[in-house]
Amino acid sequence: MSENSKNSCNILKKSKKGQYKIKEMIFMLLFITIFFVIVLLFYLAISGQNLKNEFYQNTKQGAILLVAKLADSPELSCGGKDSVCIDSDKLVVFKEHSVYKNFWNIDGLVIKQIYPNDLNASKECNSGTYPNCNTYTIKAPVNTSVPDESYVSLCRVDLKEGYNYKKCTIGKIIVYTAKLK
Amino acid sequence: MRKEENKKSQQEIVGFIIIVLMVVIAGVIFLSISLRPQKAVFTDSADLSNFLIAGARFTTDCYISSVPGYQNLEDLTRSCASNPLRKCDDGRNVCEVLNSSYNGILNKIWLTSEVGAIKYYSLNIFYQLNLTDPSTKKLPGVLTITSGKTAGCLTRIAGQNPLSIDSGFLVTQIEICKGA
Repeated sequence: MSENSKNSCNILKKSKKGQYKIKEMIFMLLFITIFFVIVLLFYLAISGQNLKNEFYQNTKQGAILLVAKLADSPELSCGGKDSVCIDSDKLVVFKEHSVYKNFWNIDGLVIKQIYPNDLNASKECNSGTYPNCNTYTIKAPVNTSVPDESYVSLCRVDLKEGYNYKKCTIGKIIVYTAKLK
Repeated sequence: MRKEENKKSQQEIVGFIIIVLMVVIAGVIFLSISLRPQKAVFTDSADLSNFLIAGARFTTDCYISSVPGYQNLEDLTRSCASNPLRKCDDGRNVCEVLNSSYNGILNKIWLTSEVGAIKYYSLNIFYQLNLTDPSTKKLPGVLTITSGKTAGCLTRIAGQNPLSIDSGFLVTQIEICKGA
């Protein structure tokens, strides 16, 4: 065999080997890329779920702070330095005036006394039933709204043996707002 | 020559498989770390803190004429901490009234059960010199009330209400364990 043909044969073999090696590298790089893409998709799906939970918790905390702020508004609060305190004497008067139903831009507002609560069922407060009642519906909630609530003190002035004193119970203020789409 | 070429190819295949295995193992380790369940940590809850603030104002039926007036839970907490032998006018000890009042409230609002949402609660009242330094807590405290079991806990929330006193703070802390 002439030297030229031997050389061309060797070159052909080397070229085929080189092509084979390039193909091998391409397949490996493709495989690694696909693998990392799959791992990334899994990770994003999992961290997306955690993000949803965190978002829900933060929204709930924000709603609780909003509710507490509402409880501290001058129309309802006990006054002074007491926070999350609602004056139930003011509340029953406030409730009787329908003009206040749309005072705040919310879908519903209900305040309930939860302890002590000797009544088996919900009893609406008005000038006739107060203070032997447990529910103050300032604005009846809309069906599609979402409730957020916070604990408050419900305080009033009571009379015992000719002595006026501040009597406080534990209540809940429930604010209804539109559902997030 | 062929044998040498074959050996070389085999070496390359083995090398390729090793790289693939290393990548797969690294991916599995990474996923297992990401998917590891987080250790349950108490999250501070504004809701529980508001509950304690509202609860502190709850007016009990303990009347002390020397004050004068009906004592709320904050007053009873301060009395029980500074003078545990103090009594209401009807003869009941202030710490007993504090204990029974908080028990009544917690059993009504945070009732624990094995099948219900609330699995366990713990209320503690204790001294703390510096609110930012938990090591300044003085235990055992003024009052401790617990109910339920921690088995089946999925989320843990906590809240606290500190009362300022001469020597630091009287902290009322509540921890609640919720299940499914």
